Amino acid sequence: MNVPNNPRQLVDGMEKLSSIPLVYERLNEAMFSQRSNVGQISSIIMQDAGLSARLLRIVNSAYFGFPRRIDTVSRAVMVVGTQQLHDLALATSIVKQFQRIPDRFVTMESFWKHSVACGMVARVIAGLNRESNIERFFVAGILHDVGRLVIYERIPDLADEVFSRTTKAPAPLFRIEQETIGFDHAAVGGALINTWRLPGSLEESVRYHHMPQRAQRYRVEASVVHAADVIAHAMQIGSSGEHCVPPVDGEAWKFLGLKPENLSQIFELVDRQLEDVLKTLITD
Amino acid sequence: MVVEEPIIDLHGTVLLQKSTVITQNSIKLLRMWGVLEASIDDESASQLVARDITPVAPEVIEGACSIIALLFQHTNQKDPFVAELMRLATNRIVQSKAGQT
Repeated sequence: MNVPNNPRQLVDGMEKLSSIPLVYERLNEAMFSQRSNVGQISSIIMQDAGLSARLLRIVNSAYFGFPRRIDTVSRAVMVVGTQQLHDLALATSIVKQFQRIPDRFVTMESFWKHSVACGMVARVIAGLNRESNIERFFVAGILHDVGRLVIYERIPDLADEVFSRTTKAPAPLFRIEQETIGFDHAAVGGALINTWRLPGSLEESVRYHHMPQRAQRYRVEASVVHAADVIAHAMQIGSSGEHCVPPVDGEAWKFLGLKPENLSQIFELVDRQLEDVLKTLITD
Repeated sequence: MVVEEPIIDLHGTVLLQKSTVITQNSIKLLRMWGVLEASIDDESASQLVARDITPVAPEVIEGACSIIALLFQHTNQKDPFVAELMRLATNRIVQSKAGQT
């Protein structure tokens, strides 16, 4: 394709990626309907057998650590909450949707490892920060680098050029993307989330995860994802193409009230839960 | 036997403060909250751990430090968060290499 002028142009016309899973749309409609109840939400989820199985696996995994087994979707909706389960449904649907992208630049396993690790760290930071509905941070972390998949799929020649430039002049990958393409993966991810009509907090946390201070309305969310991305890189869990820790915005850490001593707790928790969560999200 | 670090759940709620004495009852409560492990400050426990630790070869530590220097090349390494991240990331590499030998 011709070199796109802006991220929106790159995302438009990408049928495979520009449509959000139908089950999620129906779930969204039900969530915003005043007459929705646990039964309706459960029955929408149960119409998708794969989604039901994945959600049950995740609520029974170490990620939640519930002392008793949850056997039915309706019980999961009651225990976890409709909003949280809705967000988890989005996370698992998106991971499924992107699994068939060719792995010329990174393997999908490595890509999702990094994304899921980032989501898990974001969720822990949000919990430490006493944010409400922490699953939305998990979703934001999972989606933060999704723009890279669009770049790899739509403009592979430019992606080749980006990678060849990193070997000549070491710089963070997102800066080389800006120089080579005219915009970076964060802007592409933001445009994709906008076309999916997902919440503004998700769009800003993805769009500004390298520059959280530029977020206009959702600086907390963007700062959480920024910090989570840095930690996931430091732990060297998978990769979306970048192999170094991106530049750290010290103000974001202060803004979140995070302390250096929180980091060891985060490392331990992610190390303990990651394999379980990956299995849950990626296996059918 | 006392808690070495505060025990915090996934939502950031402190379940047991640092230096709290652990009783059978608190273990039962922690299990109910899904907490299966915790660091304890206990002399006998530290002696037990110390006996099991094998020293790491200096070249393993040097190798880990070079990986970390490359990994953090785009960051301000004087930032206290970055410094702590580098320390933890180095330990992680050393532990995994030591586990392979």
